[in-house]
Amino acid sequence: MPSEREFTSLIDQNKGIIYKVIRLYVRDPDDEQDLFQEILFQSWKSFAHFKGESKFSTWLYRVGLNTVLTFKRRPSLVENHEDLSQLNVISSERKGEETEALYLAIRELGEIDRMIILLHLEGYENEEIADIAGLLKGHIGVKLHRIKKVLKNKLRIEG
Amino acid sequence: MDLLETWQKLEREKLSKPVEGAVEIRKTSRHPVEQLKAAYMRTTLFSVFFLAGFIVLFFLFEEPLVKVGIGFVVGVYVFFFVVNFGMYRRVGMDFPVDRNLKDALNHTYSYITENIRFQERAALFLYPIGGAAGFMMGGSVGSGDINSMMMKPSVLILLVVVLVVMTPLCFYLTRWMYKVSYGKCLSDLKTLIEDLERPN
Repeated sequence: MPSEREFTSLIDQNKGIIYKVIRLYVRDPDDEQDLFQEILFQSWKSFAHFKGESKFSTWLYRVGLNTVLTFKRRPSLVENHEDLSQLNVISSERKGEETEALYLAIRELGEIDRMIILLHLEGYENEEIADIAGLLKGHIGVKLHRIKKVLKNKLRIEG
Repeated sequence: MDLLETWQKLEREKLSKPVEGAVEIRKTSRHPVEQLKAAYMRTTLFSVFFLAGFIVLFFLFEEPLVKVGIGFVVGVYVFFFVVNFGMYRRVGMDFPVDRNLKDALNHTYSYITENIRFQERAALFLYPIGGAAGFMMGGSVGSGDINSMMMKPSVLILLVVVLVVMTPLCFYLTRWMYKVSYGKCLSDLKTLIEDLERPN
């Protein structure tokens, strides 16, 4: 039986993962806090099943994303309200706004697409993403190709 | 714009900010499956409470017809208690929160759907029986002689009317309550499953 101390120490080292997941799906600070606690609760509950077959960070992504996407939704949770029309005017001379534009563009994606691009940008291979999503590697490849195309169109990325 | 480079910048600037408030592992959850578990515990406690009440009533009433009615209700409540407690113990035991997303979504969706169906069936069965038992007990207390009261055609028609009105009412009320509580959650889950399974 793993100890709570061991768990909190691992969470402490990897809590950036939870922040990242939450920031891509939630806007409201109360919802952020709520979801953070929920992910902690679900992680702690499932921690006994963690056998170390994958890295703790991968396992935490899995639990975090599963929790976010199966959580009971409130209107402010997970939905998008940003006005993305501004993204159409993002250009190379507005470098300072690139990060904000990327953030908005990713949040404009569907929830599943957001998950896939998050894992891709975090350096996960298609096979690992497929394992986390429960899909085939080829399926992820096709989805990723489309998502990147959408992002490029939104952000007018060259090439 | 280089996607990866901008992403790393975004991580540093925006995504790494700690979530406000105290970080502690709380004891309760607002996850739909966990909420169902809590609902089963509440229903189990209610069924124990009502069961105890009906057992007391069984010994308080002397009319055989009322005793048979209450005995039947006690039997139904025992069954309801066993099923509810069983569901309470089963909920969450196999919830695949650390398995793949497709499994987690499908499991959560089918679990909520299955439980709503269970509650609807319970409403269809339990409440009308409770209503009929209440009708008979009320009649027994009011008239003093349940046997002669139950012989009156008008009373029997009233009992049938009560059952005919209560059964669909309880069924649709339960369905509506669950639709209010879990309707959006189910529709979101269904959309996510469809999005996940879409070929591209």
